[in-house]
Amino acid sequence: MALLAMATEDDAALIQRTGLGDRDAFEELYRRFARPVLGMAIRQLGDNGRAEDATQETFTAIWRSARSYKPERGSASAWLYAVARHAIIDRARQRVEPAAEAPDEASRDIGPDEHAELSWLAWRVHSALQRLPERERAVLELAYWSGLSQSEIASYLDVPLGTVKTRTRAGLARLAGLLEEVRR
Amino acid sequence: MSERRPADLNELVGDGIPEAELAELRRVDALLRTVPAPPELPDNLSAPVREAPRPARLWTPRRALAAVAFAAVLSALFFGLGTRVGGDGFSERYAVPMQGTFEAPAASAVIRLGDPDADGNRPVRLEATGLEPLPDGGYYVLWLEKDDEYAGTCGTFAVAEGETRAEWTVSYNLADYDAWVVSARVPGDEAADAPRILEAEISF
Repeated sequence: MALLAMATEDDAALIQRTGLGDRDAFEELYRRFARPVLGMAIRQLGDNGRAEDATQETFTAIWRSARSYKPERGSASAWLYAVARHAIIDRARQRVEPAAEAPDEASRDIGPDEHAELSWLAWRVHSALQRLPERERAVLELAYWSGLSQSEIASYLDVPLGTVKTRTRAGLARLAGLLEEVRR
Repeated sequence: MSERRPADLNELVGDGIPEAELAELRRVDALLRTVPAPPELPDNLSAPVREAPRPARLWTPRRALAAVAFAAVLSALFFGLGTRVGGDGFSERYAVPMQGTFEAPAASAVIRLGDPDADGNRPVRLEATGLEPLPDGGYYVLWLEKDDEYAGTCGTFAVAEGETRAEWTVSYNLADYDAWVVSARVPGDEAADAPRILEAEISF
């Protein structure tokens, strides 16, 4: 809980500093949220080029509107999610043309409510991952999404197998704290 | 993403973990198996743009001078030549819906365009809802955008409550522009760029 609270406060402080023109705070927000934004944009738009445009537009929007963020109205993560969603919707409306790639097929098999819930969940998980130490984040991403076995990860990272397991355990535990709100 | 499924949690973290901690790890493990992989950032997104683009400043001295000159021309047209701006005789040719930006997601507007007269002056009516009243001295600006930059002022307006209607005449060839934009100017904030409140693409 303490970790989650700290993460929320930190994001809020970064947005507020960005609103005052603090470039470093903006870049830290970018480091934390660029991948979650891009992931959401790819899922919504189904086209990498447009998703990249939407990601740039999202951060342009954050830079412009950070001054309007009011912590008492909601969490920083929810505010950033809303800004990203608006930018992606705007991008989706701008042109109607065939997508270069098919959108996430899984997203077509579920209803809008479930899609929204999965989108929010992915946002929280991806942004929480960005808060992990790099060595823990790397092993988790390799373990869950690369298809590599633990031994292959150890070989790939050139660390002992025991270290991979230790980092995986530590990363999962840290994520548990960051995702407290999601688990409910 | 690989087709190969991740190993079981026990294999990922090893043995000898207390059950209470393992239960917590299982919940996170389940979440990670539910969501798709986060994408890698391509090189062009490895960092935010060096200078995050903001809307072009509206009132540089040169533009302000141009706006004053433009307003003078409009005044001459309005009062001197008796154009059909305002009144009940508005003859609508096109209607363009405007969307509120993230600055004002609840705001919306419609731009109604009449036919240009023989001199090329076209009546423009803006009907907006959901805009917040600005502090004393503040005003909204309707302008045209080209290549993501300010390109021409259509007029300014203020907002009280409810729906707002404003009318002007413009002589621009709209096909030369990319978008309609409404931005807000707040007194005492002259150094800041005006936030975009409403937007609509121009398409012919």
